[in-house]
Amino acid sequence: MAKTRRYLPLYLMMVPGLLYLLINNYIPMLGIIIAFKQINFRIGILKSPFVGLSNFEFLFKGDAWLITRNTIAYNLLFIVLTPVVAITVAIFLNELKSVMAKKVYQTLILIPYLISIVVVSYLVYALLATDNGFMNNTILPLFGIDPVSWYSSPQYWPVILVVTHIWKGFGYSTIIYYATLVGIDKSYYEAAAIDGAGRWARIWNVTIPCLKSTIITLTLLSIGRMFYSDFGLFYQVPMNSGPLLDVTNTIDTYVYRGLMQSNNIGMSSAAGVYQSVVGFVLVLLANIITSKISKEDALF
Amino acid sequence: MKRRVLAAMLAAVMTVGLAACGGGDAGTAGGDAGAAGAEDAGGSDAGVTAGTEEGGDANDGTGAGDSGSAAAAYDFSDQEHVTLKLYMFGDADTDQCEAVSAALSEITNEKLNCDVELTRIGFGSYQQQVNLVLSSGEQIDVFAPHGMSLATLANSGQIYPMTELLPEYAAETFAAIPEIDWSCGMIGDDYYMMPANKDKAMDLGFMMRKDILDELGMTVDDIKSFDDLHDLLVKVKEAHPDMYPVVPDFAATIGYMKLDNLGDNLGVIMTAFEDDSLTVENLYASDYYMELCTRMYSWAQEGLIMPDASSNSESGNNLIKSGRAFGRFSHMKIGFESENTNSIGTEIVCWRYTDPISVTAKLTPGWVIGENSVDHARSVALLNLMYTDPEVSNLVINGIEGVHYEFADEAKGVIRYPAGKDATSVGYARQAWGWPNEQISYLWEGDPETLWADLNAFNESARQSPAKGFTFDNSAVLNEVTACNNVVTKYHNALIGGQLDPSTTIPEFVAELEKAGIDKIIAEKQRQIDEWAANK
Repeated sequence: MAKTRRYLPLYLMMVPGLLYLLINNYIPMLGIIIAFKQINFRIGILKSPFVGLSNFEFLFKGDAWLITRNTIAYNLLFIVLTPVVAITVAIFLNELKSVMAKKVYQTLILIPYLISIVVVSYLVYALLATDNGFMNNTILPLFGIDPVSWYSSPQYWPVILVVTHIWKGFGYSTIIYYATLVGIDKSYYEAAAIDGAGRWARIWNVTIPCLKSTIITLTLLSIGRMFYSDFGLFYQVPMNSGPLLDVTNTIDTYVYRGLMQSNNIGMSSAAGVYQSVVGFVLVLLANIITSKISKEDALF
Repeated sequence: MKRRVLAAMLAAVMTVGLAACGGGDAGTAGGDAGAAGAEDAGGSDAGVTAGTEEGGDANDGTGAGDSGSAAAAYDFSDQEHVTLKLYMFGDADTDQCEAVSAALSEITNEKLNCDVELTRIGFGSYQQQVNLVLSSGEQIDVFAPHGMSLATLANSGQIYPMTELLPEYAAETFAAIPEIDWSCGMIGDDYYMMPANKDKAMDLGFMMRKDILDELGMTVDDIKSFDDLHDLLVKVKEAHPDMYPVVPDFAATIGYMKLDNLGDNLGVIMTAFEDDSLTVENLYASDYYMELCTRMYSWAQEGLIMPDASSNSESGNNLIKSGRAFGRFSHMKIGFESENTNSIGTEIVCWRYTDPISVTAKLTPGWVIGENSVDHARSVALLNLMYTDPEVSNLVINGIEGVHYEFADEAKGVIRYPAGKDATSVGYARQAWGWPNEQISYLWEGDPETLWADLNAFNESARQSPAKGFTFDNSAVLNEVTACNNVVTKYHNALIGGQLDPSTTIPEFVAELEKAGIDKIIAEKQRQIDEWAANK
């Protein structure tokens, strides 16, 4: 009893946060029923008839395998490559001595992250346009290669998309890793130096192990989003070009293209539910694997 | 253990929560819609009761003799004052819209006891924005369903049937529009859409810059066939290597073909304008499509079509305006040349390769009433006012005199942009054909004086599709339609823009369509069309 009274102010402080969670994250979840109904606005959502799983059917018609493969494969590549690039750059930043240079580089690498994806798509277009792009007009002639019709040639796009994504996103991850690096106790490095460790040995034996928790947390979070794709990247950057669909169509763009015309709220919700359920299963799996490897780093 | 289960549940809740935020604008929006829907049920009841009450007045009104004014037949003055929300496509600055709304409200206050709030949204995002308004349950009274499926809107209860309201609140419009046109806005047994009094037919052709034709010593009459056009394009390419002879309009190099597309091109009537057939076929598997794509492919190989046509996001007119293009394929109508000469700023001439034809889709977008309207009866009355009152029609189409236009010849009713202004700087896009009745508005400088008579003659001369008046209800095959739309996006624009070799690509295209269920769509369409024809 006394304990309750003692903690009462703390519980009270928790109320606004809980309310926020409830209103913002829990109540909207009731919307899941939309995925199982044929919505008629005249009679309202609650009275609209249940249609079972038929709203989900369209996801498994046609290119189900292709879009699932693209979504997961691209995300796996991103999950692996983004930390590799980001950590490398973060370590370089950390090794820099000049404070001025650090600030300049930090700003520079963050700029792509801040550019709108639509602008990025036109930057890519400026490089790849068939008749007046930089690649076809300047780069390829240098090597005596014939111009390539980039927007009709799917084989190049996995590379283009991965490079674009990493170029755009690595700055943000770099800042997070760099923040962890700055927090590492300098005495570890001193101790390592005294033991005769060179620069590489210090990075390998001190820096990387200290980053492990951050890497695992960020990776787990991105695994949870593995069934979602970056819509802007897959829709805007390839300029919605038809011939590229085999390598650029993901679940999000498929749903958008398919439902643009039909404006069916039930089917859009079905896609959302499907993505979140699979995302949840992936997080659980990843967490089980993590707790087998390194128990203290698992989320729960 | 208990803690771990709890933690797992929390994680579950978090992911789904994220989903609800990210993927589910739909989810949250839907919640609102429920509430607003319930609220609105009351509102529409009120509308109906008021309607019956007004019925008596309406009869009295006609009995007392018609003054000719559109609002004479009914009286809203003893009802609550409301604000009607009107949505229309085309770019306009917010302050210009407010000015037009204010001027419009002056008239509607007197005649309908309501204010009108006009919102205009550019073509690119109109459909999306209006969908958002519709599915979030916000008030929307009167709008043009541009780019939306009438059947879907009606089946999901987002628009309101006007059948019972029309004879009372829009008697003049109801009588003025022919039955065949009304039937194009019918879903089931109800009228959902009021067709606009605009071009109701089209002919197909190629529009081009006259100055370049002149320079090559040719006239548009020299073109008799696609082969002649091809030879001309080759000459254009030689004389102006930096110019694209053919450009697409946005992503589509050719938008329409001489057939009845039955709304969405998934299952069409190939010979609608040859033998009045009602047989639904797969366009993409036809010889006609193969021939067309083969021609475009060989043109593209010769460099006659803009490369990457299917990923172009610029309007064809802008490309011509910027001097980078010679011409483009388009569907046309009477007055098409002067309309485009005005908007492009250089003289445009056209070669037409079909006679006028008319299909259900040419009557769209038309005008509809939102289910979430505060007063369905008054919304219908507002449509009637826009259709019959020249002052209102001019206001919504051309804006305000002295601000958005000035008279070039007041006696003849010919207007132009005020000195120093042009289409862009005036801040209120003129989209005359989209409004309910352009034929009672002023003529634009450069339009022929007989424009409306010509337009009506053009409409009447058109060959009608045997399926005109039929609207496909895709709700039974929505999964297949969604899957097929994806396949069409992948191939169609690239094929028609000459980017892909049809001899290898079309077989793949057709195979994928079949896998996605196009045969089921065609069968359903055929069933509906046979039923429709039997009841006609």
